[in-house]
Parts: sequence; structure tokens; C-alpha cells
Amino acid sequence: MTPATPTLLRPTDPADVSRLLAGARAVAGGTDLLVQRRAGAEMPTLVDLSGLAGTRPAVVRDDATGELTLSAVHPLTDIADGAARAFPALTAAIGQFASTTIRNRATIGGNLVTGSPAADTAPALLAAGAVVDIVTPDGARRTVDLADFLLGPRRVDLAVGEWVTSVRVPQPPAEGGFRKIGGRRAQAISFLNLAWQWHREPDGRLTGVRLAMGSVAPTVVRLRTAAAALEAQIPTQDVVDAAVAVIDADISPIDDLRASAHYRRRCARGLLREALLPPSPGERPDQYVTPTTREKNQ
Amino acid sequence: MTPGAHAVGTSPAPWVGRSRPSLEGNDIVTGAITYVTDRREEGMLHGYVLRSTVPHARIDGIDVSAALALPGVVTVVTAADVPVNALGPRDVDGPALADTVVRQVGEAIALIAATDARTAEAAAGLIGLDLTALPVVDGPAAAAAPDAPQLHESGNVSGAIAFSSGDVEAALADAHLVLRRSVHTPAQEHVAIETPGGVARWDADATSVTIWCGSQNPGLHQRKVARALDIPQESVRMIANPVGGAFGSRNDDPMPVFLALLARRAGAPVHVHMTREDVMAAGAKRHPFWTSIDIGFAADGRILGSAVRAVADTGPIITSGPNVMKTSAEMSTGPYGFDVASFDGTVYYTNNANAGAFRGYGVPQVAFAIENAITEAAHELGLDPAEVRLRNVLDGGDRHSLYRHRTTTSLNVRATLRTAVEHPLWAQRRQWQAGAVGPWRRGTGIAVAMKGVGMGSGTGDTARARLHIDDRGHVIIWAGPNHTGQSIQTTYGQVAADALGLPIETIDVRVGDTGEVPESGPTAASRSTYAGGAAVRAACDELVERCRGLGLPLATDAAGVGTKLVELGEAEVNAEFRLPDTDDIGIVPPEQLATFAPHRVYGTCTQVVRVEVNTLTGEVRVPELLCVLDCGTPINPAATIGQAEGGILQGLGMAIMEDHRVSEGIPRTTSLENYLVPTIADTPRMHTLFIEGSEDSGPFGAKGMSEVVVVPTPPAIAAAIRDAVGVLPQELPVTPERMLALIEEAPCM
Repeated sequence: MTPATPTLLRPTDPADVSRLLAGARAVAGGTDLLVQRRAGAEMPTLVDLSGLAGTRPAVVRDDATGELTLSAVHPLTDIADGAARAFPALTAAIGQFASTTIRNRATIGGNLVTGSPAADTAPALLAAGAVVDIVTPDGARRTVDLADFLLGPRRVDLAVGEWVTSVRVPQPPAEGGFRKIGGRRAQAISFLNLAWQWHREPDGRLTGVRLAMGSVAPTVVRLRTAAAALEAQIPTQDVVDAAVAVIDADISPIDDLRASAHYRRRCARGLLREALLPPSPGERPDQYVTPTTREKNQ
Repeated sequence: MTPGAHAVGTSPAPWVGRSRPSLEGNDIVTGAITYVTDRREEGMLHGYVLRSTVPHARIDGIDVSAALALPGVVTVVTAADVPVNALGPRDVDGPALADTVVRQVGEAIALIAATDARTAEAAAGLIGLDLTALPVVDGPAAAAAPDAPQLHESGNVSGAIAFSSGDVEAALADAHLVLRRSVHTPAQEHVAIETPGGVARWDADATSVTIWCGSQNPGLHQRKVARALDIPQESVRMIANPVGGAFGSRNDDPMPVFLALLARRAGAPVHVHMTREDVMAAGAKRHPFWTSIDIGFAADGRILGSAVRAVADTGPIITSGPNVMKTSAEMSTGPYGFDVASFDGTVYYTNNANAGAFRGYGVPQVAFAIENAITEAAHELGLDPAEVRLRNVLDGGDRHSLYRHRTTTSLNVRATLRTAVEHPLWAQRRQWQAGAVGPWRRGTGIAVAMKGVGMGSGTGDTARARLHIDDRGHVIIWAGPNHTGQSIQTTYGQVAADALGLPIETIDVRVGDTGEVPESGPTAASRSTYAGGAAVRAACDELVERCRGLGLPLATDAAGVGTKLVELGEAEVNAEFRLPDTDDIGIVPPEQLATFAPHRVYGTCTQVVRVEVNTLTGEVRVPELLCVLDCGTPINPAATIGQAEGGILQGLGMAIMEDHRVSEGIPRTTSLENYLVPTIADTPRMHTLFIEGSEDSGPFGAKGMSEVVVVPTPPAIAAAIRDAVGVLPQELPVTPERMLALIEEAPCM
């Protein structure tokens, strides 16, 4: 039975949050926290951060550097609308995240602080080199690389009384994407997921190759060895084979109810291979990712 | 003219064959409906069921003193407090509450009523259980082992059924192709949206109980409650709707018994509502099956003989186990006509999740074996998979391949197949395949099914209806089988309007209340429209006939006629429809007719499905599906299509994602987070077509269809996978992991 939460505080001024968080827990979309509460977790006081969304835009782009500042308290739907083409991997990830109703509530902040190795926004952010902006209990700011923020399953670098206000990424390249494998096409925890980004040089070489994968290690991880095998290469069959062959070095999957480690290793290779396929002529690059097979009524 | 309105003296437009929105649809979508679990009574207490967390243990003691001492707790009921601690007449029906032993995780041990739900749950935690673990029978193999712990005095075999119409091995000796294959189909969860629960109110003066709780068989639950409380059946009133879905799960559900026990003991109304997690552990599932088939074909694709053996796991109590296997036996030859067949099926008791009735009732399991074999044979013989099926079709009036009994002429498998193969989804399968992009391969599959309507010959299956006309000319009809989400009363109203020739809005159909509705048997076996509709029709016909005999103009002056009939004491009609047995029982021994219960009437269905298979990840997607249905007259076409689409989705779930997993007797899929059912994003574009046909014994030519639609979906998907990537899955569900393993083990692309 769900324990009672007698107190819900809803600040609209960021300056009030740290004070209210003393002895309380933060909630934004609540899509994970309320499940924990239903499972018996006691949370007598909740501080709802979603009221802060009215004080700032979901996404801010620095015109000089191209850096994106993503609000940690806005619904993912707003983040996808705001980032759009500027961050193709994250936009794709949000497009495959849970379901429309969940995306209208869930936030990047919530998705990251949960510390799930299967979090669907984390691979795109990790591949993009995100940093996490944290407000400390005394109202000061600290910033930590996302790679350092993610410590393990359900563990992140966030002290009691701290909260995540935003996530920043350097300007992502134009080419990037995300794929998740789940037990069904919506509302499924990922068996594994993959985000990628790279520049495709005029001669076809890939540079700035960055890959990150979820559900294959205690945290979402960068595929550094595989990325290195692709860096500055034209993704020919041999190059792809070489990159796929070394992916095992970057991951340490386990067996769980959703999938075996064996499947995760094979599917990790498959996902990378799929990401490196050339776009089919005349087709949208992601047509095989989200097939549009619902033709008109006969 | 608005629908339903008509001028006096003219024939109204028929309602049969016209789509009519479900009567309670508006209340459902606006949230105005009060489901049985929404019901609140004055002075109501809240109940909780303490359930076992271990699969098999001896109960050495139950100490409820601490729970009773908790402020707010009104009563605690254990086995010792139940007058007759049984869910049925046989030991294997199981106790209402565990007494000397628990035999599955989720088995009910004690019931608590308290002033609020939180207190009731807290009290459950204070009940002291002294348990001694017993060895776990974790599946049919363990149950059959010579030294296996015996779960019942009668042993671990819950039921067995075997029949043969000849020497199959001799027939296979002459075959051009013999396939010997084994398949496995999983336990499946119903996932009715409303979880079991409701309210019961005990009337101490009358020593009677009224129970508001979903049921597919209010009369059966009335008898179960009467037995457990040791009171006359007439002292139990089940009001079994509105309910948010069933699919078989409200057939064996003990919840009405729990509610009644609590209400009587507490002396106050008690409300209980199970959580989804409780249902996942304790609720009945579709029986997991291990089915093998030996089948022989001539070079031209004709089936020469088949032998099917099936093993099922029914969990710790009998529920529907042997009856499910009986249906499997009859459908083990599929919708095909051939000369020699045999079946041998055994149902075992185990400490796994209890299995019970589930839409399709043993047919999807064996159909997967036979349809897969035919798919494979077509490839082996170089024949078109639809053509092989057409060459073997059982036609209307043919003799059944196993029991050799006579089917009705309304059986129209051939028309469903012919319609399907002419549809673009099948005709353009090569274009579909050629359009594959990237790692996604495309394929198209076809499968056919047939499923009996009603309980079968020799069972005395009967539905009843009661009709009353008042002095305004308004008609009330009390009819069964009950509404379990499909809005059967909407359909009954259409039958009645046309049979009486009266405006449909003057006809009020009431279902699901044992205080008013005559015993009509279960909402099961695809029988509601067929049997209940025929009983309604019979009642209406009798009223029309009575009016004719009295010279009363019912259609033109209903109020006047009603007034007259009330005066005469002739305003009420009772009618029944007994489902006809087969005209010729074939080689079934007459004294064993009910044991095998062959059907006279069958619904049939052909499905064509498109799939996409990702050869790099193993994902399977199902974008489009055709369902061609042989259900006689679709009385309410929109409702029929809705039934078809819902059934297809349950078949799709079974095919590619649903798998209620239990190991060492412990359920591993414990919630809808890890037991996945199809969402709207997984839903294919579905086309449902009706073929022309009419079943003479059914109301306006209708026959049942709500189960047969589940059956072809898994084998059609398997066949489409075979078409896409060259491997035929024999184990369901085809998860990405299983699919990728099949592709990698047998690459033939």
C-alpha cells in the first residue's frame, strides 16, 4: 500500500528550492518516484520542481559556441521540441522514450538522478559529453561530468539536499541517432540502447565519433574502443566489422529478467552495425527504425 | 428518421447486422460507470487477503492474535472459520483458504477486514505463519517423476484424455513427408483491466449474502459461495456487473467466496480489490503447453494422418485443466479433414501458477503445433501454404478427423481461406517482401483456425431468458450469459428488437444478477451471442406467438397489448435454448459423449499477417493483419470487429512478448513492468472481414467467434517470420532474444 505523502511543496522560484529540500525529496515528473512510493518508499515531504519550468525555457542555445543548456525540470516533450534538429540523438531518444503521456511528465533531471543503467536519455547525453549543473544545499552551484555523475545502479553523485537544475552539452554534430531494444514498442525498459554522433567529412570519413550504450554495464557507458576503431575511417564493411568486433571490451552486461548477457553482447554488435548502415536512397534515414507501414485504407 | 425510431404500421429497419454502440460506452469513457470495485456501501469495511509467498509448505500453525489486536481490525478469517472450506465438490478444487498446506505462491491463507485498507494490510503482516518448506514440484516433468511429492491424494495427474480414429503410424508409413515436431506455448496472463474485487453485504436477519463481484458464471459462483458458507443457494445473490474485462479470468476466480466469508464474519459490508501484483501471482493463467505432433503428407500436400501429444501444467488445483485439454483434443486436427488421427493429452498438478480458463481454452496451444507443421510442410513440398490448407479443409457437414462426428453446414473454413488469399495482403506478399529496408526483412504468413461454440455434445448446455412486457409496451428481458466487458446486453437488445418488431429503446436487457436472471451458464466457449441470443430470440418468439394466438397486434400497439397481457397474467415469458448436439456422434462411444463433447457448431477464422524481422537485433514487428471471420451473421458488426481485434492482440502478445515466467515455483514476472502486453504502438493495422454464412440453430444465423480469433495469430506470425528470415519459431513468445538466436543458429538468408 502506498505510504502517505502529507506535504507537497511547489516552489516557483529557484531560490526557494534548497531551503525547502531540507528533509524532503525532490520530484519533477514523478514517473519513477511515484512508482517507488507505491512500492513502499516513505516520502513524507516532496518538493515539486516542475513549477520551475515556468521560469525559463526548456532549451537554450548559445549562439557563439552552439552549446545547449537543457532544463532538468521540463517535460521531455518540451526538451525534444526545443532541441529538435540541434541534438538529433536526444530528440530520437525522447521519441522512443516510454510513451507520449510519460514524455509529457518525465524530465531529464529525473531520468538521470534515478541512476538507471537503462535510462533512455543518458546515452545521447553521455555521447555528447554532457555536464550536469547541480545546486548545493547552500544555494551554490557545482558542475560534474555526466560520466562522473553516474556511479552505478541507482547511484549518482548527488548529495542529500542537492538538486539538478540543467544539463549542458557542447554543440552536437548534425549526424546522430538513438535506438533502443525493448520487449515492445512503447512503455518498455530497454534491454539495451545505443546513442551515436559523428561528423561525416566530405570524403566519407567519420570524425568525432562518440558512442554510448545503456543496460550493458552498471551505468550507461561510452563505447570508447569501438569509437576509436571508427575514428577518421570511412565506414566500409571491414571498418564496421573491426569496430563491432571490439565492442565487448567496452561493455560488461549481465543476465536479468529482460535479457541475457549473451543476447546483450550480440545485440550490441547488431545495434552498432545498424547505426553504421548507409541511409537507403529515397528513404528517410530512420525509416527502418520507425517503419511507416500504415498505409491508407483500401 | 433516427435509428430505432419507426412509424407505426411499418416494418422497422432491422437491428441485426447494424453496428450499435455499447449501451454503457458513454459511461465508460466518461468515467461515470460504477464498476463493482467502485461500489461503496454505508459502514463498509476494507478487506485484505494474506497470500503465501512460498510455493509449497506445510502449515504448522497460524497465529492471528496480534492481527486481531491491531486497532481497527474487525475480523480475521482462516481455514478453521470457513464452514465448508472448499471451492468445489472435489478435493482437487482446492480449499477456499489454505488449511494444512500451501501449494503455490499467492494462495490465500487468511482474510482480514478492518476499518480501512491500510490497517487491513498491516494486520496481514502481523499474522504469524509457522510453515515448513516442502519440495517444490516445478513443472510437469517434476510432477511425473516416480519419487515426486504428491500434491493431491489422487496424485499429480489432474486429467488425461486420449482418443484415436485409426493407426496413425501405419498411415505415416505411406507418407511422402513426415514431420515430427515439438512446440511450447507459455503461460499467459489475462490482464483484464479491472482486477478482481467488489463488495459483499451480509443480511443477518435473512442469513443471506449479496455480492457485487465480476463473474463469467454468476450461477457457479452462487453455488461456490453457498457451499463455502453452508447456506442455501437461494441465500446467495451474485450481482456480477459491470465488470472491466474477464477473458476467462472470472471463471475460476475465488473472490466472490472471499467477499462473502468476510461480510458474514464481520457482520458488515466488506470491500476487497486485488492489486495487479496479487493477480499476477495468484490469478489463473493460460495453461502452458508442451505439444508434439507427428504428421504425414502425400506429395500433393494432403494430410494422411496426425498424432498429437500434449502436456499441460495446471498448477496446484484443477480449475479448468482437464476441460481445457478436452478442447485441445478436439481441435488437435485443426480445421482439416483427414482419415486417421490420434490425441494423447495429460494435465499435471504442480506448484507453479494456477492455470485456468483463458480465451481459446486449449486451442491456441495445439493449433500452434499443427499450423506450424503445415507451414513447414508447404515449404518442404514446394507448395503454396494457402493451397496446402485448401487441399485439406474440413468442409461444412464433413466428419471431424478425430471423432468422426458430423459438423454443421455453417462451417465455412474454405470461404475464409479463399477470401484471405484474394486479399492484397496475401496476393501482394512478394511486393511486401521486396520492399524490405536495411536490416528489416519482411514476410507474410497465413494460418487457419476453428473452435467449437458452446460446451459440446452431451453436456446439456442450456441458456435461458425471461421476458416481461408492461402496460406501456416496454419490455424487460433478463438473460444470460453475463456481460463481461463485451456488452452482450447490447447484442441481446438487437436480437429482441428484431424478433419483437418493437423499438429498441423500449427494450431493457438485464444481465448478471442471479436474483433476476435465470441460470444460463457461463460467458465462455464463445457461446454468449449464440446461446444467450437464441434464448432471447426464443422468449421473444414465444411472446409474438402468444400475441398472435390472442389476436393482439404487438408491433402496432405495444402499450395496448402489454396492458391486455398484464390483465390476463400473460405478460411474462420464460424460454430456454438448449444447444443442439451433433446429429451423428461418429465413433465417440455414446456413454462417453460428454467426456469428449464434440461440437456441432464451430466458428472459424483465417488470418494473414505481415511481419518485419530485424536480422541484427531479433526484433519482430507486426504492422498489418487481415482477419477473415466465419461467424454466421454478425449481429453487431462493430462489436464483432472489436472482439476480433482484441483477440488478435492477445494472440499477438502470446506470439511475441507475453510470458508469465515461474521458476522453482516462484513467479518472476510480477507486475506489468516485467510482464509485457501489447500497447497501441504494437498494434497492427487490422482488417476484419466477414464471410457470408448462417448457422441455422443460432439467433438470426449467428454463431460464436470471440475465441477463434486468438488462435491463428501466433502461427500466422510464425509463418510470416519463416517467410521473412527462413526459420520457423517453435517456442513462444518469439522475443528478440529468441529470434536472434534462431537467425544465428540457422542462417538461410
